[in-house]
Amino acid sequence: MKKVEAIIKPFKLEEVKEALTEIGVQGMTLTEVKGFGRQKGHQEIYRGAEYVVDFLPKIKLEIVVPEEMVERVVEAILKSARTGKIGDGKIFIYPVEEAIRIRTGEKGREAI
Amino acid sequence: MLTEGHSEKGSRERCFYFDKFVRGLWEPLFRENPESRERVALVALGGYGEGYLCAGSDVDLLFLHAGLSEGTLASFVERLIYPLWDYHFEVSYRIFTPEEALRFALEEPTFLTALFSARLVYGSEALFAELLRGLRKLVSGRAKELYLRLKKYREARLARLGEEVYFLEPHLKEGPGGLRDFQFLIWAGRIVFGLEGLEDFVRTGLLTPEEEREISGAVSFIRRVRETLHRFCERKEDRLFMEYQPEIARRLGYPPDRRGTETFMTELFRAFSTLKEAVEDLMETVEELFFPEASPKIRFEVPSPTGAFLRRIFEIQAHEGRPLDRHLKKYLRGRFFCPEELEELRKAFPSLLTEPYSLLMLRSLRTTEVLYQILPEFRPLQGKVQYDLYHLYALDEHLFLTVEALHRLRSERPDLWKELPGGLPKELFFAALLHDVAKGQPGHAEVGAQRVREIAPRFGFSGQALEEVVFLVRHHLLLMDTALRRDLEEEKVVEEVALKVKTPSRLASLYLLTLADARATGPRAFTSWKAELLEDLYQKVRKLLQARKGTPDLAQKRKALLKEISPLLAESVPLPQLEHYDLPTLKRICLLVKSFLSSERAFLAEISPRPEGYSLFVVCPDRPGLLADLCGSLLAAGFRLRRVRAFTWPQGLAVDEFVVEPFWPGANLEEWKGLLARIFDQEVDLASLLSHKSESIWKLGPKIKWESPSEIQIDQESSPFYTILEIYTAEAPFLLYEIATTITHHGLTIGKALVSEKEDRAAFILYLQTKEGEKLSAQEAEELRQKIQNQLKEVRS
Repeated sequence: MKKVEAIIKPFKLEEVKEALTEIGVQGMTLTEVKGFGRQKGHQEIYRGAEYVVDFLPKIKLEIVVPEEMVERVVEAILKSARTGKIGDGKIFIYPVEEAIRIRTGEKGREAI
Repeated sequence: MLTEGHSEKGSRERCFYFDKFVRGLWEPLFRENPESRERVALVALGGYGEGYLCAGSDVDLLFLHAGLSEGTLASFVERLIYPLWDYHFEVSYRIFTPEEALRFALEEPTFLTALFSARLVYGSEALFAELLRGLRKLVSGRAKELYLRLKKYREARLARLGEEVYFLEPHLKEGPGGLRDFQFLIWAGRIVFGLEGLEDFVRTGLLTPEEEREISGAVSFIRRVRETLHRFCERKEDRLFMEYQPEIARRLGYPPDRRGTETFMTELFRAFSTLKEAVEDLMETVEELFFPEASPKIRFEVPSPTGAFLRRIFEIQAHEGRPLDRHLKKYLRGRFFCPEELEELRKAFPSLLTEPYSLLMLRSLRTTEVLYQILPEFRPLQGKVQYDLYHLYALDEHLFLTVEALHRLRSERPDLWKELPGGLPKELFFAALLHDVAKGQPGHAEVGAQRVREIAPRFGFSGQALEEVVFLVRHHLLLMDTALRRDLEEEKVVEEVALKVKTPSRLASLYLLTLADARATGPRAFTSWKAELLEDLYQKVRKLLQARKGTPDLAQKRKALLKEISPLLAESVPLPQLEHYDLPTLKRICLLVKSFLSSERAFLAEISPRPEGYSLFVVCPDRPGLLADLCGSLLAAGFRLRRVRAFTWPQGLAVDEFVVEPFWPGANLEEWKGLLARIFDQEVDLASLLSHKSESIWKLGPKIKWESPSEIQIDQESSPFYTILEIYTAEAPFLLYEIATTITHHGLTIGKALVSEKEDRAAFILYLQTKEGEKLSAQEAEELRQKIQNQLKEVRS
């Protein structure tokens, strides 16, 4: 099992969710996060005063899937989250040791 | 032990069996020790004392004794407590003589109130009577002090759980209007007036028989709900979380669908508010008795014959924040007012919403039901449940809180209020109160707007003011939806909002409504994360609107264009292009784009003659360096550029207009087309072609040699999306080509260009972005400025 974690632009959420549902992902966790990468935050000048946006709003998606699905998941995210502009985000993949469904106690694949 | 009964009946039965159980345990002890029969008693307190034992409630017990030996006492206590523990009851108990019990009651108000519901379960009647006698004596001399203690206790409870009953996950016991409030009513009646139960309230005229019926109905309803909840959760759970509500509603006999659940919750809210009002009425009576001078309430006076009675009451309330006095409330509640009276209030109502205490006024209007006489559309919203992840309050309360949130925003966002004409526009407050009037129906914002169009005229709105209210209701989700679901880096997205909103002041109005709505929904609805996206959108739209004073007309133009051209094209025309051209030209441009999209060609050009030359529109896919290629090819074909207006469409198309004059009579635009095609196919190297031609073209221009200083400005502020490069200099035929080439070499793209070359002076306004679609950094901008400065010097020399 792997956990795929993706940081995406907020407005891309619906598209990414759709793309993931289409390939059979059934559950995901999403969090409102703020961050910056190479995009660094941008400087806007509003009302004559400089207003530096240090952290930009992003969405973090977490999905745990069986190993053989990872590639499709990544591809779906890549396709649906891309705008080509700076700040499109990143995908991280982690190994997952075990998953347990709290209600039933099922483990491993059954639990995800 | 837990008997299967139903609801209130169940808890009474359970109580009966519990009593029996205790007797069964104690009887053998009394037989062994007959003299203890008169020296020990088991007293039930709290809910059990009142005869109710909810499925998962605690059992409050008092072991009352008359100085029994420790060993004997222990045998009575253990005989009962151990089996109860074995049955998993949560038992709390105290062991006191009557005297000790009364002393402790003075220190501990919760114990005192628990004593009020004391009931002898088994054992010495004389001992129990002694306790009750002592309790009466204790209370009689200290009514005021004890009342204030209780009141403090209630205030602390409500501070923890909120004052209003329309909380979507209510606490059945401790929440406002919950069972504790009913107990408070009974306790206060007992302490202050020596009343035993609700019947005594009626007997002494504190309640009408009808009020008594309502209160009893409400209490037994809430008890039934609690009983069902305990049984469902199989434990003591007094908070009615949203996930429990459908099942509890079903078990209570409501239809097993969403509507059934909503009806259940609405009835529960009404029960809470009945109890809460009863408590507050009683508190008022008590306080008038104890503190006749302190009460700042609005009192009942004989209605004036002018018809201004209602209006005056609520005017004072909204302005000064004083509560209505009990008699006045009773007078207003359920009375039907004559049309003139209601009309007066209705006309004043929108301005009253802008007064500082409008929330208190709205709540009074609701409890007295006067609100439904001036605004019947509000009745179905009362206590209406909104099932989603965000809302914390019933619909009517949410709408009240939206108005209140606007008041709070006055100090937090003075910058927004400054944009509004006349300070506190009634339209905004009225729209805030009604923005969700059609909630629950599909497309509630649009349906709501239509309904408001019928409602608002009754409140004196007409003409522009009416349109404003309708607009705000219709678009109350526009900013939030756009901020969360659209790419705010896209100029087009921001432009769409700008076109709908039209003016900076309207934008500020809509933004205030959006903020107020989000805050009144609950903390989960409005995180700092969302706030940031929303603020970003607001600032971008505002900038766009400020830069373009003519935007209102643009919306009309777009509408007119939409009538003649397919929406896909008409909506794609960028706002500045819409601004620059008249309707027939815009139509021509759209048709040109349409034929380009359906052709296979690399570009499409439409040529029309002008007095001194030609105007030509060119459509082709945008790419870095395109403008340089277009300008260069025209120069090479023998044309002087007089004006350029270049725009990028959302489809990634460049839609540019060039006004050109031939350098020499034979210059031919058909030849230019051929040349451009070869440049696009990379058959011709434009740079080397121009280097051959430059000598001959140089000899031709500029028309007037005039030494005037050049100016270069970098503007990072005016556009949220582009760095604007402005150049004012002497006219020179090659200049635009060279500048465009320099920009391309810097790896930048030109999103828009407005260029005019007059006889003596050329103005270039170029909207630039990096390849990633961002503005230039300060350093990049400075480097570019230097480079162009040098270029201008070279041209001069």
